[in-house]
Amino acid sequence: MRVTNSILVSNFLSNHHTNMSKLEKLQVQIASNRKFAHIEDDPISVIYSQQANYRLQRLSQYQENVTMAQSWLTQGETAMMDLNKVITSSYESAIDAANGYENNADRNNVAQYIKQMRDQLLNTLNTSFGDKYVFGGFNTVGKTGTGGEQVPPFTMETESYVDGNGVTRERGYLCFNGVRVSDNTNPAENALLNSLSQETIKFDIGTSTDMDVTFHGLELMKINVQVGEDAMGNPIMKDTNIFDLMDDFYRCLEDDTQRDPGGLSGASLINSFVSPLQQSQNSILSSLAEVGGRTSRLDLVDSRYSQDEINYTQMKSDAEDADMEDVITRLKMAEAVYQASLAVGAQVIQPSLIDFLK
Amino acid sequence: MRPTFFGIEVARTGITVSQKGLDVTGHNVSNADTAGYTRQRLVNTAYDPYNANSLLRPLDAAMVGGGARIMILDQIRSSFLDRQFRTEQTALSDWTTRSEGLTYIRGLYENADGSSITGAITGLFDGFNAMVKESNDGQQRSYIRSQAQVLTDSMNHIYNRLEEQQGDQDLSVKTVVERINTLSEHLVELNKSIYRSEALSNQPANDLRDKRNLILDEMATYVDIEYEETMDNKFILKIDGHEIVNHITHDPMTMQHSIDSNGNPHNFVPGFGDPALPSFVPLNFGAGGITGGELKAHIDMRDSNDPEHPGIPYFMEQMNTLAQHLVKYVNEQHMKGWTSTTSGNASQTGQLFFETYSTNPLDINDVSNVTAGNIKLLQAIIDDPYNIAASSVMIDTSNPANMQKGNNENSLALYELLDRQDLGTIGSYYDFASSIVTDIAVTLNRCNSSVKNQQSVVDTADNQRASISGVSLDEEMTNLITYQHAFSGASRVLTTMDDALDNIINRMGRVGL
Repeated sequence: MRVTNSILVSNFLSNHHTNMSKLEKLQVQIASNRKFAHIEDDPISVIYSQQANYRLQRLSQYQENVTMAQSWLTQGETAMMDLNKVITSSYESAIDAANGYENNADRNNVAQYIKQMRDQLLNTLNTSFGDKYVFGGFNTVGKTGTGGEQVPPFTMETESYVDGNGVTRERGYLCFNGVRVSDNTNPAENALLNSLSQETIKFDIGTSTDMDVTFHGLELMKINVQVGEDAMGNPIMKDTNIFDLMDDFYRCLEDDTQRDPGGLSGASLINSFVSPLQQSQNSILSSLAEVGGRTSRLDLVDSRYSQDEINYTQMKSDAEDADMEDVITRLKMAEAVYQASLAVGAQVIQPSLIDFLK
Repeated sequence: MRPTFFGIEVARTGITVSQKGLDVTGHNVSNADTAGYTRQRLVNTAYDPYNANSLLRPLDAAMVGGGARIMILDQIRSSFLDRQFRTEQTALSDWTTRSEGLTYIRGLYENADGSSITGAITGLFDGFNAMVKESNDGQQRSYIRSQAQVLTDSMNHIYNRLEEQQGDQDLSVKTVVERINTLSEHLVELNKSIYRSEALSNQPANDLRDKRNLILDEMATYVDIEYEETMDNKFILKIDGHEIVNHITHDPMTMQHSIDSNGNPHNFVPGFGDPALPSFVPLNFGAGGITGGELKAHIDMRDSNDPEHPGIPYFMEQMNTLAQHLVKYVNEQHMKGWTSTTSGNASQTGQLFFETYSTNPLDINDVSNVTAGNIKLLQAIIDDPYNIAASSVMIDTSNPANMQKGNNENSLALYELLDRQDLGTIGSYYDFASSIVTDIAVTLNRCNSSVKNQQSVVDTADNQRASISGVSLDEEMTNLITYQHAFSGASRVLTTMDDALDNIINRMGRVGL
């Protein structure tokens, strides 16, 4: 094939262009530490990179959710331990009070103590995490009352009555969202309370895996206790709540005309509170165990996510990052080739016959 | 009998031919890097002895030829290589133009972190997740509002840019057709000049033919061309089987177009014949018609919805599908929830999350009118983020059943839309958004490979042409020396003949003078 100067020049130029493109590509790879400057340079790596990035983003969302769930549960746990202490000291007082029933002054002291415990119970039910009530189900912010004050989910209504000695006493009722919980005979309201007590806040801690992060105060308070014996010695069972138990206990201590459905009075009446209070404590303890179970599960999930994060970061790095040693070696080679091609090109395209004719 | 001035005449022809040779060499050298120049070569023959075939030729004298004469001044060019080059050039400019268009589209989908669309989708659901953890917090709700707006803004932006690019490709169609017509007009002028010049002088019109070849090279980048030169020296150029130039007749390409909403012409359709009449024949793009060239690339980019050979409408359709699925499923779930009363408005259900800029009310059972260009966040949510329906139950703090400000069940359901794999025709949101990005990456990658491969084919064809037709300075210098020596030699012969004649004329028959 006949080769002319213009062929030599155009070959030189096209190879020069190729060399420059290679150098440019390598330079961008080194400067940005990315395997590909644009998505069309390596579509397969783009696919892996997108998958890895997506997994990492979802993972970080789940990790945040797990951390926040743990905080909620810890707050609930602390409050439940308070409840446990309240109930423990209450039934210890019950044992003491039953033994020293005849001493009115002592009995009165215990009564006042139990009243405080009852109020503390109410207070604990309204524990908040930040500005949100933990045991109120979806009622996390309460409401604003008529006087502008903040009304929490659990409140107490009082009703006065006259006891057997003609003394006016007060009875406290637990209310949730303003609806009376204790001794409520209205079936609509009872149905409402039942459905509200199932409301728990859930977070998504894994692919469509939801975890409850709250307990409902109504569920915590529910117990089924014996409130006396009938004529044939069979126990009479009643569905009630711990608050009511505490309120009954308080009034039994203060007012010696109180009788229970089985006709007990006096010291034996006080004694009859010990067993239900222990039952209440067991109920709280089993809820505590469930909290423990949930936090353990969250810990396991968290450590698995930490491992996953490492794996996905590795996958992302494999897909996206340039291998520095490889790229620098190739850059050096490309530079050498470039310089050689320039030198050779200069030698070849310059001389022509004209230089040699005189 | 030998004519007296025979020798001088012979030498003179030698001088003429050498001078012509020097001129041709000079012309070649001056045009060594002129684009499209074909090297020219002088073809000489010797004159036959003048009486070789005549009745009265001498029987015993050796017959000497009468010198040299120029037969033809020819250009050395291969028309086969020209055709090869033009065919490959047509394919190359198709790929190159497509690559430019697709690169622009790729720029829209890519940002520094890898992609703008996939990031916006995960951002939206990140916002829903934040609202799961804090249903009543104004700041978290503002966060989800801004994430949703980032998504709709990105989609609007991409869609609008695609539309603009479509308009640019459309204008390019018009520009290319006009250029083809200008070139074919030049071609007609050249045809006239070449025909006349060759008819009068009987020598090929070399430089004019070079110009014609340059025009044909340029035309080949726009569209597939078929051409031939007939036996009676007339040149015919055909595009898609239509004779656009037949010697000096010019039938220019025409365009049909429609009028857009601003009254400007758009959607140009090139073809032949009067666009207003039914006899208009549009160009046939595809096998059997136009298979390459810049015109086809612009039209493909403007019109093609084919996944094998995608153009702008294909990418717009993908964005629209994403927008439609966002509108349908996010709204469906959002409408099941209740808004919050924290800003003082009553809690409502059945409220949209995404709406459109169009004035027609949105029907989520028929989202075919939703495009990526008209999707937007509901105005009521833009005004007040407490209008996002996080709760699954109505909120009313005066009613014990409705103290639901902490209810996050609808936010949870909205967030878990991201996990669903069964959404309409797209599967899952992220997978679809991600496939849009990989689609453009793969398409552009394929196109760029084709450009590179085709470029080297074109370069090879061009090199082969240059090998035949290009000027080599060394060769021309050698020829220069040859002609120079021939010229000196012929001049010497002339001087010698002159001396001889001088002897005969001035010194013979002077005996006795």
